[in-house]
Amino acid sequence: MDQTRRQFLKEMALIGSSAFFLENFPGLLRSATSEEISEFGKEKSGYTYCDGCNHVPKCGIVYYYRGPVITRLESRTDFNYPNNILCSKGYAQLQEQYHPNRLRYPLKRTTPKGQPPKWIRISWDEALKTISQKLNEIKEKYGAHTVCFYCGDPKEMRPIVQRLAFSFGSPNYGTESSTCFRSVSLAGLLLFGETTTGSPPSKQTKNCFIWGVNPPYSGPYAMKGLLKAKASGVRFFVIDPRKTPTVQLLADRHLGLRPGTDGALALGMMNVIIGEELYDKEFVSKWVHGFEDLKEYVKEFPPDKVEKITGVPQDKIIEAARAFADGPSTLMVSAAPVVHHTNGNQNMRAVLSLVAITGNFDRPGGVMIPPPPAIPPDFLGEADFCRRTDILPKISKLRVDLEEYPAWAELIPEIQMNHLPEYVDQNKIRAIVIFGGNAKMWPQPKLYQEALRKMEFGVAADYFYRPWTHDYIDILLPAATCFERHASLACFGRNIYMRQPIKPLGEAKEDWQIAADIGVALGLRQEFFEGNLESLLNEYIKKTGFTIEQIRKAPGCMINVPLSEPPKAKKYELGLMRRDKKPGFNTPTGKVEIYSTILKKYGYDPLPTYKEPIESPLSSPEMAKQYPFVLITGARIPFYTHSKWREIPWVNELQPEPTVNLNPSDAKKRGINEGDYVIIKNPYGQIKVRAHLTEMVLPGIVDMFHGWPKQDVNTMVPRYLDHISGYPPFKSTLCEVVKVSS
Amino acid sequence: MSKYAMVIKTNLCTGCQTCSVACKMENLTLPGCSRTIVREQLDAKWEVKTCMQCDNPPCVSICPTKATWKNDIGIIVIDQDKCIGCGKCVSACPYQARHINPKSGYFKKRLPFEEVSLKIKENHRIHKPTKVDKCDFCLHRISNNKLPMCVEACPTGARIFGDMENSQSEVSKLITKGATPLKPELGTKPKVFYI
Repeated sequence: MDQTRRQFLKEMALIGSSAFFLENFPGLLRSATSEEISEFGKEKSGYTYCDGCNHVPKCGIVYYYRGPVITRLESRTDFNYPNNILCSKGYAQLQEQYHPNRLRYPLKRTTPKGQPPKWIRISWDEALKTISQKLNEIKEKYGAHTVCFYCGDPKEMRPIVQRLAFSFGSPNYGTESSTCFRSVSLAGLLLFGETTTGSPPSKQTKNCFIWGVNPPYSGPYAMKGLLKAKASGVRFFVIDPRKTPTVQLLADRHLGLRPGTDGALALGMMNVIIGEELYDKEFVSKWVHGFEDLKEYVKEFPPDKVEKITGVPQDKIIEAARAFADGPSTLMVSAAPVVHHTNGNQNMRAVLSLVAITGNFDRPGGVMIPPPPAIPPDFLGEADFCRRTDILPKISKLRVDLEEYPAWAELIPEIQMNHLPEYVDQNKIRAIVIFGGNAKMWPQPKLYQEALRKMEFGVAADYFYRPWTHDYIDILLPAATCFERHASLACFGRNIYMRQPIKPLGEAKEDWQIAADIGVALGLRQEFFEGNLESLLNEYIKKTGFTIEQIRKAPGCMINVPLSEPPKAKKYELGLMRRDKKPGFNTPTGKVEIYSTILKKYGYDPLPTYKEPIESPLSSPEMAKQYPFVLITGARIPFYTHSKWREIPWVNELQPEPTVNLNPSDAKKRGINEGDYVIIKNPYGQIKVRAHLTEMVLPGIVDMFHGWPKQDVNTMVPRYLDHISGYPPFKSTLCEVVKVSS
Repeated sequence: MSKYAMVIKTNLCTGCQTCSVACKMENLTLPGCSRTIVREQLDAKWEVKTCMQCDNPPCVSICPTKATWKNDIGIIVIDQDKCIGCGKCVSACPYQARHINPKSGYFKKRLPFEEVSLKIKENHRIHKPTKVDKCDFCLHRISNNKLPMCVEACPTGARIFGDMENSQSEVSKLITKGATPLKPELGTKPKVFYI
């Protein structure tokens, strides 16, 4: 319960008898009779957690229902996530739950791919039989590895889909995280031998660097904590090419850099920190590999030069650098923005290197590595259950991405999906099993739709029929929503929560059940416990010592799995980071590898070097004459997550059509007014949308939200992929905006 | 008697629209009808509007059928059965807080939860076509000691709700500290204040 609510209850002078309300609340004068109400039964409540954004916060929901119908939603107040609070997406789910267009039955296409699709309803039996026959045929003919298993959104089915892929014999399991979280993760693994996206400020934190994250829109549940930290005196530096609400609410300093220059900014800050000898000498000498090389390299990035590259005034760079070194300082990054550039992974390594040389890694008040959660998050999945420990190592030589992305393939147990068109053209992938996928999430989406079309067989599970993806597959399965599914569990620290689902609409099934049923149909009966979901979930949480039944019966459907020992800081000193239990980091040298031996091994630049985006005002000045804006795509808006929620009128009303955001000064030069139709164009494509003028976007930058099926900005993003991570430049290509003369 | 008021800290508003959607979900207002509106301004700050629950409400005096009045705790309520949808109150409101319900809902058929609300006569969720609707501080919630939905839902705590007659309440303190209403010069005496 937050402070306002508590205070309100305390303050609330009770207004008096119900008679008072009968007179003052006209609605109550005509209440329903008890017979009318009893038709639906009393209002009851159940627990679930949210499907709204990216299945990491899993914000707790209490849903209320009468009879079989969910009638309203509230934020769950006894949920462990700090400041658990639903956002617009959370509340909008009620309208999604009963949307008339939700898929209710399995569908099979009756026309050949390439022709306009026609669909007929089939039974689950027929669907599973067809799927298993096709997949086993392809396995026999070409090998199991030519079947790709892919998870888009949600993330909750990932553990069982890995189990399905690997036990079927294919290492070619991929997810949308190969354009999202996995590059940050790779940067952390190369550098620290550990994945981190930083930490929110804690009691000891002096400075907090929010680097390219906008929590009010990407994680509103974090806001109360951050505001509290600000009130208690933490200094906030926000690094972002936009003047976001984060900048407005939190920033003491805003470093408004040009998109894609994060690496240069970090190297410039390290130039100051090393030049002024502000780095943590003890940590560096003991635990950093390649510091001397870095020291030499950052000499190329004096603040005045970095100002020219990034657009951030040099005094601000110097001030930020000194503050970072005057710790404890923490850093918060997120999955996407820093890495969505052609040099994104190295840029991310440069940013994370700041944490290393200032000794802020796993230090109280700095970037902490939390103790292991009771069960791993769904987006990774528990390794043994997923079959990553026994089966995957034996078949990983059949991965399709070994040649193109060797460092990725060594450290990331899922394939880089961005090369899907090439994998299909080279006959490396011939069939695909999709859970919640969107063919338009990649740059040049037509290539990906074509790739799906060219495959011998494709099946997808989803909530809705989405033609831009499903018109290129053969069978479509109805998925159950977060009100209708048991799996997966929610875990915060050492607490595990379960849902209390209602019966799915129509014949919809939850993803875990669909994957298990496909497994059984493929002949993997024991592996999938004859399709028994409860047994599979028990297997999943086996190591906690609890059973699903115990969690279900526990108060609040929650259990706590105590830690065997209290959490510790500086785990690298205590032998708690490495698998061999020796002190140090889980990297080949046992140190923080600013000079990466893994990158070196594969012929990449071992230092976190800075390269301009392939297309930028500095690297392609000729192109920039014609296309002077840097185009950012993919920044969150609060009520849509990527392409999700476009079916929901409650949120569609808030933005009925796509708009491009540009700075009023840039608009004025082009004679563009609020709401005008404009064309955004570059050599790759063009789209017509309405203009929205806002100072949230700095001059010279254009911000276009993605995921609109028609005005798809991904058609304008080229396929120059980061050599290390395979990531496209979603946030640094060039464009021009012109007013449509009507 | 209590007099309920809201203080909106616009400096804490991020434009996340959680209040707008939470209100929709709670009150099931019809297409195009929002009881609270959050709109971006050119300087990337946010304008938050709702019914001001004026102490001197121009919408009440103008109503030809006495379908709208100020109740004993200062909230302006509407009796949809008495409302003839003439729209005089809509034009009289200087804050554009009132709207006329459209003739149809979001979908051709009512969704199951809309059907249930209709059958059990959850009046705050039933909106008759062509009648006037507006925010009532979630009277159905505050009567059960709950905060209005938008206040409850706000992720940054930008909305504060309470009794302005109680000098110890947070809203009273904020009003004393200088929270101000919109267009005070009109003499409408709004009970929504801004910081």
